[in-house]
Amino acid sequence: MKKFIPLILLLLITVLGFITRFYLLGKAPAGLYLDEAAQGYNAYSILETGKDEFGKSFPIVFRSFADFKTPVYIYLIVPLIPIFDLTPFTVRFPSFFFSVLTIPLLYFLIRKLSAPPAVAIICALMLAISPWHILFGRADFEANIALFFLLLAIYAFYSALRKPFLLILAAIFFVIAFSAYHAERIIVPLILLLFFLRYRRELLSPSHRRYFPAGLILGLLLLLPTLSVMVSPGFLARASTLNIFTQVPSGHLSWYQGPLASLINARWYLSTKEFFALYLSYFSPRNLFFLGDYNPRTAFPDLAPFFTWQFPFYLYGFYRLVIEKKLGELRFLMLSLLLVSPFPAAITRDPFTTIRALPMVIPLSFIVSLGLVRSYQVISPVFRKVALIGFGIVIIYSLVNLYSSAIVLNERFRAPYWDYGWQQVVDRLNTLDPKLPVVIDNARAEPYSQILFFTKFNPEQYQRENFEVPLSAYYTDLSRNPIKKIGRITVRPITWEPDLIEEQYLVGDAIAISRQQINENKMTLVDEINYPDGTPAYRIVLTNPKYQRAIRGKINP
Amino acid sequence: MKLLTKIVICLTLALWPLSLALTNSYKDIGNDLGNYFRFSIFAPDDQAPLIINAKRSVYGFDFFGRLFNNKATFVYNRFKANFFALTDLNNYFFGFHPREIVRENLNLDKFPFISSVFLPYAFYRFNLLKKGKFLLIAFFVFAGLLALANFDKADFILYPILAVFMLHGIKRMRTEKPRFFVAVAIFLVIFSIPQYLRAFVNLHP
Repeated sequence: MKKFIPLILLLLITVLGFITRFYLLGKAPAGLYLDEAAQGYNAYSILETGKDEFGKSFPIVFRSFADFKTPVYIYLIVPLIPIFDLTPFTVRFPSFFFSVLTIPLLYFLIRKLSAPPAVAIICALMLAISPWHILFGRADFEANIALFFLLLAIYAFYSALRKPFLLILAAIFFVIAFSAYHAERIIVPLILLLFFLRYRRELLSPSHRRYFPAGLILGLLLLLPTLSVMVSPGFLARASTLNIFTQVPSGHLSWYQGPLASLINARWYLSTKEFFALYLSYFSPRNLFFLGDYNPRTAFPDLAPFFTWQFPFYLYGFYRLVIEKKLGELRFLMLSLLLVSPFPAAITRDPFTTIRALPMVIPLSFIVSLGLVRSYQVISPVFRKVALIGFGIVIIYSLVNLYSSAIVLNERFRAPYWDYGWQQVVDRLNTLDPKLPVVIDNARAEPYSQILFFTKFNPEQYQRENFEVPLSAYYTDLSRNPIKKIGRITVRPITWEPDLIEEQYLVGDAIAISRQQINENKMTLVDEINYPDGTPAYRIVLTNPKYQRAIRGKINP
Repeated sequence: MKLLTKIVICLTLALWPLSLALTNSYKDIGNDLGNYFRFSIFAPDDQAPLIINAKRSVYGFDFFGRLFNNKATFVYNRFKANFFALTDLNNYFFGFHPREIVRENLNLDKFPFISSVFLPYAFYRFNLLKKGKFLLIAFFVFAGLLALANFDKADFILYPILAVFMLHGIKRMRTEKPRFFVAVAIFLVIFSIPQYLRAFVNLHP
């Protein structure tokens, strides 16, 4: 019975992870961000026609706005649509599903590397209640899928050290992780390089001599399509806009033109310094325990990626991880993940992006767990019960804190960042006169994906009526067509003079359609969609062409 | 090797005092300390009740609203902001985040960033540092005290403790990993040229 206790605890922790990610899934965060809607609609389009919104058959990477989306997540949504329909819940389901599965996977990975059950169980618990991991498990984020397959590949790799044929499986999982999110395109090769250096004897031994090259060749073959797209001009253009080495380096003193300018503003110095500053910021307690991500969508209000109470255990666990050589392969793996994971994030200029550094959540959770377990071990046995009760109270407090931040405050204060309101707009438009055309303003937003998503617009008709670039230039030309035709709905910037003379519905945010404009042009305010905090999100108005003709006739008789 | 070690020590430890001297900031240290509690985390803020009430009103269950949004949490958040800034290595080697401040970052780099290698090494060899535990506790106690108010420039108090850790890291690395030490030292010398030049130029435009 005693040997089942860790598994029972793991089951309970997985259920806890399930609850923290499943509660109000699809409803909180309130709204559906444009990338989520685009992925959902493209999955729908693939399901219905075998082509994406641009008419491309089964793309290797999906063209999306001025960017490319990785394919794994979109193809995972496809089989879910017949089951759950095209809803925010469906779109967020793969992220949730793999987020929950990551918890037991992490436990088994740690156990595989011979850590005591206590460390593995506490680590699974830390991941189950981790605000960082929960956030990405409650919305459509490809990074979450990539993390799961990265861990699965690592698990398969370690299993393959004893059972060589599993190298084939490891290769397949590494390829899926590589293709699932941009950051893994840097992380996976670096991890593989470290693994090769560490385990080259085993990999080149007679037992592995057949499977190692076979796995390598299979992996490269599976990667060929992705690699071919990665060197396309469109893809490279996107990559170059993000990385710090193509920008004016931070700290450049533009006013200094003196004789030492080549040293004062030396690019090699400034870029190296910026890279190290960004890299180190991913270990910063200030970012991990207080500030968090600057992007409102990738951070919960008033909650950092880790709880404040974890800070002392982070410091102590870090120290223990560095000095405890007896942790063996686990120490190597966690240090490797810890040191490699911030690389993709550190070469992009954004400060502390939790999405690009998501794999760090694994070693950091492990570090906190190690700190907790080692602290518990140094406590006198007399006080251990008290410590356990205290720990239980802290976990309950953390869960309540999560609820407060991820559900209550997030819905109220972050709805605009999640593009809240388009479902309500579409629902309202469906009740209005179907003969009248609709213009939806896109001067400050890209709502066409949400309109396609919530109207479940016929993908074949959309592909026929809209053109962006020839299919031969799908991966190379990132030119955009700002006007989208979705049946009677046109998504384009409102042009007031001609638009007011047509009898039609206009939809826009509070800046595009102000109260003053409505009154001055005698338009009818059909509906005002408000954010949960009561501020106006979108307004639907009916134009008044009769009035316009009358006043224009007076001005230009 | 001895000369190289002396150069490394000088380059590592000279930047913070030099920057303070160049900016005449040392004159403000006494003044800052004297006014320390005027800028305390307990100082009243007219906006605080509005922020607290706005958040509290969102909760259906008022107990949670009160638990997470009250005067104590407001003060505690100010403390955390200061405390985590003081325990952030980026504060000491990079003046926080490179693009955190829109204009040129006027926050001082306290140590050359290449020297950041010595600090983790010092912690790796923490057991060999005499009175290491005392120094570590002293660091967090001072950081906690400084975090009770705006720590700007008063964080110079932490310099001796950090200097001891850096010296320990330099000493241990030179003895245990001499090749790595030489490599770091060469990089430190090369990167210190623009870094020290900037300390002069940046402050005397």
